[in-house]
Amino acid sequence: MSNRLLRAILALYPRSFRRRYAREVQDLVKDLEASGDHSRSWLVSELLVSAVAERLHAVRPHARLTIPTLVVVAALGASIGSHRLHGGQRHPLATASAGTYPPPTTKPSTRLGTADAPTSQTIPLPRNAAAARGVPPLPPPTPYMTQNEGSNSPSQ
Amino acid sequence: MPGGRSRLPERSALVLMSLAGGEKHGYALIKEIESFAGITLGPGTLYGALARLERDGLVEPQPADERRHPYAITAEGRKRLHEHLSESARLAAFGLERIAIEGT
Repeated sequence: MSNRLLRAILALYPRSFRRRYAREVQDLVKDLEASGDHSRSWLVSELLVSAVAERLHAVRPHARLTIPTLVVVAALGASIGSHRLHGGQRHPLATASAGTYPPPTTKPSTRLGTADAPTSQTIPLPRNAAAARGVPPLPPPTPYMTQNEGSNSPSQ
Repeated sequence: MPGGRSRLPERSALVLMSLAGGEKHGYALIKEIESFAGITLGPGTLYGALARLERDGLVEPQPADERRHPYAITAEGRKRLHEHLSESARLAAFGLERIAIEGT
């Protein structure tokens, strides 16, 4: 494992952990690699999972981390990362209220020579999507809220 | 549980068991734990456990030997390990007794 990759992985650990143990972890990784008992991919994945665990321990020092917890954290991270990789769009439910879903992107398509055209089909949605689905509108909000709202003796 | 203290995480107990036999650096810890427990701790897991054990005063770093940094178990660490193993032995005895009763 290159020093650069190892330093990049160690940068994911909490600062206090890095300051105290980064050098020792680097030396240990070198020893384990030299022994030939562990593959590079195993070492990388172990260090990455442990980085997540250390981050969580830094937040909740007495947390008992379990495999399911780490799986959930990894899945959330992958989901967020995937979402950002695909144009950094907001959540579909949030973009729907803007009028179209999915929102048009301006990702260049050099093959077709349509750099300015949207790469996904744009489906117009009605301005009030809830009304279109037959959902009755919410009642208008109460114009004024008082501190004694809900009590038996409303203020006058 | 008896004693009122939380049980040691299993990996921490393994590290303490190894250090109870004498001070060791990271690589020696991994190899010995592999040999007596059949569990391979990775570098991140090992130093995560060592960090918490050191924070709790159960292990202490020793002067560096060339580029390696050995660790030693403290008196408090021996006490906690003894409690942990006694509790584990009590639970094991209970479970084994149950199995014997159910088996008859």
